[in-house]
Amino acid sequence: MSAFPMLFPNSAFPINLTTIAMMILAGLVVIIFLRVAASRLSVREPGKMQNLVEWIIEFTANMAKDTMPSQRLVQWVLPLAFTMLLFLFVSNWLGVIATVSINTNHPIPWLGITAQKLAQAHGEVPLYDSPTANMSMTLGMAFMVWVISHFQGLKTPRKWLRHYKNPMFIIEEITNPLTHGMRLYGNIFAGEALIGVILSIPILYHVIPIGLPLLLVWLFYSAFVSSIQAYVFTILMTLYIGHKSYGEQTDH
Amino acid sequence: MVQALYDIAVALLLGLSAAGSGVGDGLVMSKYVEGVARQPEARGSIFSSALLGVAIVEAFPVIALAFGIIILFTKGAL
Repeated sequence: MSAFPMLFPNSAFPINLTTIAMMILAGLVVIIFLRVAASRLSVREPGKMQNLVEWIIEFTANMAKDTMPSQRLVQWVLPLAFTMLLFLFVSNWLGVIATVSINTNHPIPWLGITAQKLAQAHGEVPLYDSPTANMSMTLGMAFMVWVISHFQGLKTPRKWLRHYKNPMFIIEEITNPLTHGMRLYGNIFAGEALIGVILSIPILYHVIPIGLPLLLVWLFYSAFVSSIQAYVFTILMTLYIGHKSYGEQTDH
Repeated sequence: MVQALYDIAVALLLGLSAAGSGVGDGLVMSKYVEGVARQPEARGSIFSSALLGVAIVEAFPVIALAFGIIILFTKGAL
C-alpha cells in the first residue's frame, strides 16, 4: 500500500524505520507515564494517576487469575501482561489519534522508496503511523508469546510431549500464533486504511463534507476496537501461557 | 477484465466473512442475553466474556477487510 522508508531494502532483512520509530515512541510514552505515576506515590492520599495505574494493575491481575493455573504463575506473568496491555493500548491509540504522511515524487533508492513503490502508493510516505498496523510487528510479538509458552511447557518435558497425542494440538501450534498476530494487525490496519478511504471522499460543492458522519462513526469504532484488541491480545497471551504450564497444581 | 475479477474477489471475501461473523456474533450475544436473564447478578463477568467472544469472532471479517483493501489497492501485486 504505502511506501515505507526501509533500511537495507534489498537484503533478506529489511527494517521498517517508521514502525521501529513508532515502537520506540510508544515505549517512551509508557515509560514516562509510569515514571510520573511512580514519582507521586502516596499511601495516605493516592492521586488520580496512582488510582488509575492501580486500577490497571488490578484489572490485569484479575485477567491473569482467570487464565493462569496457580497464584505463583499469576505473579510471574503479571509484569509481562501489564507491560503488554499498556504498550499495545498506547501503540494502537497512536494511530487513532493521528497519522502523518508526506507526499513526495522523488524516489530515494537507499531507503527503499523506489519509483515503482511510489507510483503504487500515489507518492505517500507514512512517517507517523500505528506500529501495530504492520504485519511483521504483530506476528513477531505473537511468535514471542509462542516461544514463552513453549519455554513454560518444556519445564515438564514429559507432560509437554504427552499432550501431542492429540493431533489437533499440532495444528494449533501453527494456527494459534498466526491468528494471534493477524487479529491485532487486521483490526488496526483495517481501521487506518478505512480512515484513509473515507478521507478521500470528495467534499460536495467544496462546502458540505459528506464523509464527516461516516468518519466520526468509524473513528469511534476504531477507538473502541483499539482498546478491545489490546485487551484481547493480552488475555490470549496469558491463556496460551497458562495452557502450556503443566507442572503447576491448580489452586482455584 | 482483470480489474473486475479483483473487484468480484474482494466483494465475495467481504460479503461471505460478514455473513459468517454475523451468525457468530448473534450466537454469542443471544447466549449472553440468556445467561443474564437466568442469573442477573452475574452480568459483569458474563459481559466481559461475551465481549471477548465478540472480539474474537469479529476479528476474522476485519482481517478479511484488511486483506480486501490490500488486494483492491495493490491489484494483486503483493
